[in-house]
Amino acid sequence: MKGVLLAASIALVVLLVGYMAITSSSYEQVSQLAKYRKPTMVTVRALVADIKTLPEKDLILFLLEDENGSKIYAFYGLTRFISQYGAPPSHSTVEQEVIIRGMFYPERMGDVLGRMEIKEILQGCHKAYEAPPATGG
Amino acid sequence: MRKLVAALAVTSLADAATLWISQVLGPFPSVVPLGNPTAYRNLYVHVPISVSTYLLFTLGFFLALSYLLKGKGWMEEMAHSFILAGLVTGFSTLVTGMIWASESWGSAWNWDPRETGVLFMFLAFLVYLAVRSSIKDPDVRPKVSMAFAVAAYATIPLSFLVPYLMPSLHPTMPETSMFIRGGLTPLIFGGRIILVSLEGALLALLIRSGGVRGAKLAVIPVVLVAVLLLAMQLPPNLAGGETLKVQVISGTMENGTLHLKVRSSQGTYDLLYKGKPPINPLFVTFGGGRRLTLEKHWLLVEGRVEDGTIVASSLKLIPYWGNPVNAMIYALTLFTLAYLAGRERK
Repeated sequence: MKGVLLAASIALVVLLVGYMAITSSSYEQVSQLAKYRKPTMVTVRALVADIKTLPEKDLILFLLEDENGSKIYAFYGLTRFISQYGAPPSHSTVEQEVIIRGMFYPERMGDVLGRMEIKEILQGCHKAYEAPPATGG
Repeated sequence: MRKLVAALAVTSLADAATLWISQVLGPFPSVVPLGNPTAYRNLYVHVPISVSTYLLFTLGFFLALSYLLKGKGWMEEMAHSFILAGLVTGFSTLVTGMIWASESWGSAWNWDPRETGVLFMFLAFLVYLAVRSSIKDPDVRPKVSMAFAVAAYATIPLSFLVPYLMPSLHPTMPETSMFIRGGLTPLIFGGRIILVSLEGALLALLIRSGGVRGAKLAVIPVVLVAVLLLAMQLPPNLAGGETLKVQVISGTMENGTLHLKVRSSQGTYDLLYKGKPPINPLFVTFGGGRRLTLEKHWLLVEGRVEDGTIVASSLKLIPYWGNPVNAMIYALTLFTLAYLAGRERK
């Protein structure tokens, strides 16, 4: 019985540490970026309010927001996007909600909290499973 | 013992057959947000290994708990074998998941809550292994290490439930159920989950016995299939012939001719093709519109160039490179477990 008690106590510690590890690895909301005072690497979950392509600068400009209305600008390489997605960005190639990782620069401009250089656009695969199956090879 | 090895050999044959079928004929989602849609054939490799890992740790947990309550030595030995096997498949779960994520999520490691949960689970059981091997006293060692094994199990529900509790790139079961229920998928997917889990459990039992020479031989069919799948992925210049590798951007079908807009490393081209499409179906109605299912696919094209347009005589889907690599990682996982089963017990 001593062994079970020892196991239960360690399990509580494991649960606590595990819970903290998992929740700290969850994604931030746009409004949560207001707390940063210096450039920081962040992973953000946001709604795509607007997309603009800037071919002369080889960039895509996203205007991202969250339910609270907080906004940021985010940049990504146009050529890199096309090589990944096979087409220039539009509301049909980019989902309404995105998860992006990159360097956030807190430079407040009106209701925009700052700008972000996107390193990676992360896509969930949930939508894929709604599509009918295909076969081939 | 012989019966276990025979059961392993039969399971391995069936496993090898379903691995081949899943990677060559297995259905994949026709429209995906990112990357090569065939990357979703990892569903038949990564998910069964993950389920097998959860199962091995669960069996290990019950045996460890039984040991703590009843104190029978064989329970401790068996719990250790199941946990050891779970650690090997757990590592494989992490690696195969990363290879798939690098294509379908945009990055190999994302600190996704479930990714973090599975990594934490793996580390917790590694701690168990460290604790077990660091205690020299034969009376204390089983008691303390089994207590750690039971405690480490707390990470399993945590990692499993996390996509249901917070936003995650990992889908939940209800989200995948629509795809998994369609066509051949339940047969291949369900079959592979059962076979891979059974094979993991059989190998864990053989690890407990130790000195099993036939285990490595028994898993050879899976290794052979993985090698064949890798060979099929040879770059076009090694496979021979004049071919071009292109990615489909968009396309339409007009009067029986497929008009595709494709891109290669040299630029963007129009491509015309009249033969049998390399994918079935070619179009689906999804997301409120008619979608070409070849979009985002990489194709191996044979044909000629006329006025800047490729007139193709043959089109072949190029599967995502990570699929055969993951099949090979799975084969190596089985081979590692078989190697552990072949070691003499101390």
